[in-house]
Amino acid sequence: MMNKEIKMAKEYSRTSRVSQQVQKELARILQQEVKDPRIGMVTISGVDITRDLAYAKVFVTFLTIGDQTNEESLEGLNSAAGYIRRLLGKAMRLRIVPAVRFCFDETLTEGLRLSELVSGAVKKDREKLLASGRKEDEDNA
Amino acid sequence: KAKKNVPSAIAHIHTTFNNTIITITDMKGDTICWSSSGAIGFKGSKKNTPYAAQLVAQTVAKTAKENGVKTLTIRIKGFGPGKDSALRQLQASDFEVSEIRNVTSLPHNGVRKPKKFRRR
Repeated sequence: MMNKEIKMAKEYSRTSRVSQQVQKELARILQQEVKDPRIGMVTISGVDITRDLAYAKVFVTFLTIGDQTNEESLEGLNSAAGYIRRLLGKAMRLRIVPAVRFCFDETLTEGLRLSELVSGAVKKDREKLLASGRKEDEDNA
Repeated sequence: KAKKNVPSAIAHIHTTFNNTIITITDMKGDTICWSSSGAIGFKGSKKNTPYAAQLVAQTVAKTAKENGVKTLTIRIKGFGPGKDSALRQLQASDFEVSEIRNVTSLPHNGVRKPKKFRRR
């Protein structure tokens, strides 16, 4: 019973609960409060918080429009980090408001690329199988 | 079901912190097809992942193509983590994306929120 309780506590620890809440609040703040022309549409894919809740690493992806680049958008976000931290402190009741640092999340684009590669390879295999099946039928006929 | 031949459509991507729903409608607003993370088979916390959103977009894109959709206008609503991956997947599904708009509804300081959301 004790082991089950410890396991439950570890699986849904305070840091994971706080990071989920920080993600929700930051998503709202970035959409409503931050109006920097360098920053495109931001999506927060995850938040990692240290155990003492003092530092938060926020993984973001951007939808850039026109001349905007991912690097510029990231620079814009990191320059507004102090302001965002203040807004986060107002939105959440925490003893220590984590210092926020933004990082670009490459796993999304990599995942899409790999997914397309795998789908392409599977499709080619199927076509080869079909082609070899038809060839056998022709030979038998 | 009869296939509707709709060349131009609107994709409504509705993302929340628990789920992602994508609905394809014609320009008037009548639904052509839809899908969601739960409809695909994901349950619980897996529904709000970007991967689930990607699969939802794939499913919806396939059905939309069967109904003759070629051009899409995309409307994004919500703050969830699935919006980016859903959007990229729709773009990669050979549709001509004419417009991307964020239509998340925001109050101009509207109704009084419940006690839980009024802490400060």
